[in-house]
Amino acid sequence: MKSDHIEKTLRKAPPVRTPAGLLDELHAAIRLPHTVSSATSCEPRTRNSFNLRRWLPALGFALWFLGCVVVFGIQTGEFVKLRERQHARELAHATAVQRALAADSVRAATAAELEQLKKDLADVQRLRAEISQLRADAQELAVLRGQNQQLREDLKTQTAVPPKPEEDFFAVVQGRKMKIRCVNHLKQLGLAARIWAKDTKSDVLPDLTILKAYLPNTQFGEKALTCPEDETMVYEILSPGVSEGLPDTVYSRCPIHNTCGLTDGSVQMVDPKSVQVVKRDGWWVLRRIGE
Amino acid sequence: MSEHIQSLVARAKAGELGAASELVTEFYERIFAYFRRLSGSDEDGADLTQKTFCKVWNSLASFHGRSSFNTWLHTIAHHVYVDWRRQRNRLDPQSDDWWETCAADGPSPFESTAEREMAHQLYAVVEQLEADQREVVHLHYYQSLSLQETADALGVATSTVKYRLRGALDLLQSRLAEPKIRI
Repeated sequence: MKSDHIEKTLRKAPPVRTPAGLLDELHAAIRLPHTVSSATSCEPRTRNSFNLRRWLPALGFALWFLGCVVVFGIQTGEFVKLRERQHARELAHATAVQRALAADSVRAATAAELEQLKKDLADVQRLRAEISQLRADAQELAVLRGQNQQLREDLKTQTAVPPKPEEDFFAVVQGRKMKIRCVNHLKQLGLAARIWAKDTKSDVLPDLTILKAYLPNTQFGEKALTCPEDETMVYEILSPGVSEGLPDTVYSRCPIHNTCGLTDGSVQMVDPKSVQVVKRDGWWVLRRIGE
Repeated sequence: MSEHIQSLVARAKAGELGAASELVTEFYERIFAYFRRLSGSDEDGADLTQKTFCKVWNSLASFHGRSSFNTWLHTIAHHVYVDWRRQRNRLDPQSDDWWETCAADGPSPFESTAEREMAHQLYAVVEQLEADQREVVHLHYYQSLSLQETADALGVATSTVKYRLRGALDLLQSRLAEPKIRI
């Protein structure tokens, strides 16, 4: 059978015989909205059950949502309680920590105070030792004062009788020193006179005036003209203009130490008891007494 | 006719019982035939017809004329049938003498006896189709709804209706080509 023929056959399906009285029942069951009250219905039970089924998903969701809200509320309450407990524990922990810190600070302060007391005790002991040392020093000082007093008295006793000049060691040494320096000055003076003679190509030695003008320009200086014992005392030039060919002639002399500088540059320490300066042939020379 | 039906609907919505009675008289045979062919029982067909018209009167205020009244009526009838089948779990096909008992008195549309027997075989095979294909065949061929009206009544696309009809016709053709048809 072809498709077109099947379709034609289906379209020619025989009509159905309607049961008698159905039309009257349908007419009687007509309930239009404007003529029938809402309480009256052709299928009240079915309609109610339909409404219930219609609202069942919404009711189920509402119940589920309500349950969720209740569970959420319970959990929120538990959470709040737990937070309060945790907060209380934190407060207790903080209090304990503060107490521990306070105890530590007190312990530290006590330890510091104890340390300070130890230091003070050590200082006291050290001061006591110093006091005892000072007392010992004071006693020793008293002894030293006594000795010092004794020494002062001894010194006063010694200074009351001055020693003789020939017995004074320092005075003897000082006199020797001055005499040696005087000899040195006379040698410098004689040397300067000979240098002058060579510089000026002269055959004679210069007088005092020339030496005063010449010495400041030499290495010897003006000090070579005076005796170190008394710097105001100028040496005596006994033989100005003497020739270098007369080496025994006394050229200069110190009136304090009685030392004589000869023409040849040597210096003689003359003992007045045995040697005297005499004039011979117009020039001063040394001669032993008794010759 | 459409304008006449529209005026009847408008009058019925206004609360006129006469217009509602005319609508019942106009459509009750087609609706009963639809349920009678599907349910296989006069009592079930009559009950389903009464339920359908009850829903029509309850929902008449919500009918705004976007589709024809015939289509809207078949849409309600389809839902009533689906609810009924779901409650009863009715899946059994009709017997081969079903058309003999339900057919109205009067001249047969088939000229020869062989043609009538072939038509009865075809109608019996239709009842063995799947529910979707069978409802499409009933609405489009037996109830003479167009493809668009059938799609609106079933709440599916027109292409779906065409697809189901094509599958149903192919299946009917193949079944009828078999030497023995299982009924």
